[in-house]
Amino acid sequence: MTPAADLALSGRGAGDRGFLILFGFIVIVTLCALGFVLASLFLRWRNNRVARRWAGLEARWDPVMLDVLAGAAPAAALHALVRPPDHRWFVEFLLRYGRRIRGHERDVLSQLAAPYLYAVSGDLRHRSVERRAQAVQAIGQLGRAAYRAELVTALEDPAPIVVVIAAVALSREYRADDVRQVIKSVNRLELLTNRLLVSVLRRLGSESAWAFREVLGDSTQSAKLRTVAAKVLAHFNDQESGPFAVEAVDQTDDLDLRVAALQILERIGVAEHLPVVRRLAQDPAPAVRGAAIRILARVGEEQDLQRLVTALDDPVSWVAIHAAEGLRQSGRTDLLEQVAAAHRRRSSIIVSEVLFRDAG
Amino acid sequence: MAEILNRFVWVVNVMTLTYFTLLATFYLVSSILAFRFLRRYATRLRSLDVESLVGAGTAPPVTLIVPAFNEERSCAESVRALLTLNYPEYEVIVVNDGSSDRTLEVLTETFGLVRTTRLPSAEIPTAPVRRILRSERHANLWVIDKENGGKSDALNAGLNISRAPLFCTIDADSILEPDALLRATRPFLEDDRMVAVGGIVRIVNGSTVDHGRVRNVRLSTNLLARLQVVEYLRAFLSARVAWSELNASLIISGAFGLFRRDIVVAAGGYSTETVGEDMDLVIRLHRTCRDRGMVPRVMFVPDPVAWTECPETLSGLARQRNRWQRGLLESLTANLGMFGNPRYGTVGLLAFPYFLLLEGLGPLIEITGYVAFFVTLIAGWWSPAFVASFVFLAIIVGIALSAAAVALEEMTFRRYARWSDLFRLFAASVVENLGYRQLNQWWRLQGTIAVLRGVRHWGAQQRQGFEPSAPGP
Repeated sequence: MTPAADLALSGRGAGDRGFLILFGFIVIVTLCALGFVLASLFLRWRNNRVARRWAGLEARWDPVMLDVLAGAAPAAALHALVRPPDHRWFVEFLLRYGRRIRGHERDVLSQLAAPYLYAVSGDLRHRSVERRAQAVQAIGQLGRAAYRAELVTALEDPAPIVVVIAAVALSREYRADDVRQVIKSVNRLELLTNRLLVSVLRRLGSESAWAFREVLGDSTQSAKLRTVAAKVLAHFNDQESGPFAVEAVDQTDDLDLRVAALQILERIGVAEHLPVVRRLAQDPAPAVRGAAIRILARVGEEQDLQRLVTALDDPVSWVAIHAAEGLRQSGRTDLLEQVAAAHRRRSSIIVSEVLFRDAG
Repeated sequence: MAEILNRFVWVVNVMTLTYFTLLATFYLVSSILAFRFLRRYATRLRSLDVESLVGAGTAPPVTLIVPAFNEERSCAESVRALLTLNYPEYEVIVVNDGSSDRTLEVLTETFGLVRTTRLPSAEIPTAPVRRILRSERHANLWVIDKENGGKSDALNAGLNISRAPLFCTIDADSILEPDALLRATRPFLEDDRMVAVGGIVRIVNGSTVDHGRVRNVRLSTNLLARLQVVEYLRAFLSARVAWSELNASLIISGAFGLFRRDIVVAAGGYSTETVGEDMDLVIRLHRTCRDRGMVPRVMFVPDPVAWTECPETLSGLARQRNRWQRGLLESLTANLGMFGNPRYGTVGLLAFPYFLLLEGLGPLIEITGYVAFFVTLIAGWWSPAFVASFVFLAIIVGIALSAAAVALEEMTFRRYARWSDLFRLFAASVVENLGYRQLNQWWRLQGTIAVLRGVRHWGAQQRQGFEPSAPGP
């Protein structure tokens, strides 16, 4: 029974101790309620003050900033407006710009930020994950060149969020000596989806394809890392990865990896890959069959058209849809019309849908 | 006789005070957990450029499923807003669930719908589908016209023809903020185990809606709406954040939730046996995944926002709360095997007992407790300590917790920018506990009785339609 419930007995002679506990509890909770109200009022006041300060700083910096970006004013003109207590704010101000601009203007931002990055670089070793992530984000966007070593170190951070932000930052420009480390860091991010990892790694650019081919061809690497490598290579349309893809498809049982390897062939496949692909069009795994059908639609020969038409009746609708879309993309709408006219209900529905899409 | 009554009242008083204490303890702990999480989360959001992380090529395709029943007043505006979301690849499937008003006509006229076909990708049983339509103006807008089968049935019909790996449910009278999908998708990219993510639902009453966007956030002048704002803040920013932190969320609001399609189909889709289909689904997702040896993640994220209209009349609110209580009890009783079962981790050991004993039976205990309290006073069996403890636990703790929820809002998202709105929220935190909450429990008790009587309909809903912006000069 809780002390409060015990007090229900007080009419039956419960002691003062319970009452004192209750009284203490009442005082504490009432103070908490008042505390919450006061905290909210304080937060509102502080937030308004911060907003006013931002508005003032932006009014002061914005016009000169635009001139500096346009090359109409030197960086020193803006630096002259940044007072010591505003250094961290200035970095934040530049970060906001950094999200909106690209190319040469980004370099200008980095030059502008250089004298003030010390204000956030101390947070790279902060015990709060979020503060470290923020620091890596700022350094990664505005001071990659000067702080490259710190960013590489951040790839070893125990927090996945920090590793991802560091990897994104390092992936923005190709450096042969960093590529392996960035790819290796992915092994520590096993909870992240392949989609996110691919999006991070593909920023390394097609110059780094050699490193991904190494990973794809190395059967001692984890299936997840090889899958991600295959997807990145597919994204690069890497012409040299065909043999690696065929080998991966043939030598692994991992479904994700097989499908990812087929995605490479879908992009760069040529006639010499057709025997393998035709065999995989009969694979028991629907995902593999579907991927193989897509490749046949792209690089297949006349004899493969019948395979696509047959696949319209595949028991798994995804495979049938891939076949219909493949026929449409190959310009064989006449075959689709024939199927629609045959009134085989399921395949007719698929064909009508695909043809509508074509019309739309 | 008097002795028996005295004994009975005493037992009820003990039970009620124990219940209030446990509830207060839960909310205090959840407020503390929420405070820690939200502070971290706000910093994390500042360090992440969500758009670049979940931008083109990264974001998984999403199907938005929008069940619509007699929504002629708001459906066009809602769908128009959904078509302009900031998300790289998505489609919208509106399911007209046998509306008896002009919902389908309004959609057809507004979006140029024409009849088409689409192969189902799942075969969850539903009421007959009359036809499938597609917009000639928006290639990503589809409408299913089907016979009435209820909200779950409509969601299942949408699920059957959706193909994206993720689907999002949203009520036809709700408005998603432009970046809500981007923000809600992020947890799916960050954790492979994620099966469902819920966003925050905020009350739109009093704010200005212009072309499907909430432009000017204001508190409603209607007292009931204001009380619900505080209630929603407490439910979302405190309780749901805490359950999410414990990976024991049992509810993702039907007004805005994002799910992994394959797992939901494997779990059999939405149950048509309950009016609480949103809660039932999340419970079954936990069960399905755990039964297959997988530990699922179900997360609440506070930054993606869906705005929804809340009832402004007592009768409308009574119907809603009655329905919520029925949904809660039906979902829990349908999955009773999870109660206290260690196989289901914190869901079975903590969340399920909490929801069943404190939320499910709460109205019964609380209303009986109020009656016993007054009997105690009238019969002269009371002591100052008892009265003080009852009033304190029933009212003052509630006020403190509501104030805490307002503080959490101020610490994080600050949607109500005016000082006057902040003061009104605090006033509502007090008023909420002086009659409104007790009335709520009364409606929920009626819902409990309805479950025992086997009632299963949704009840009529009245829509005001969104408040348009002031006409231009």
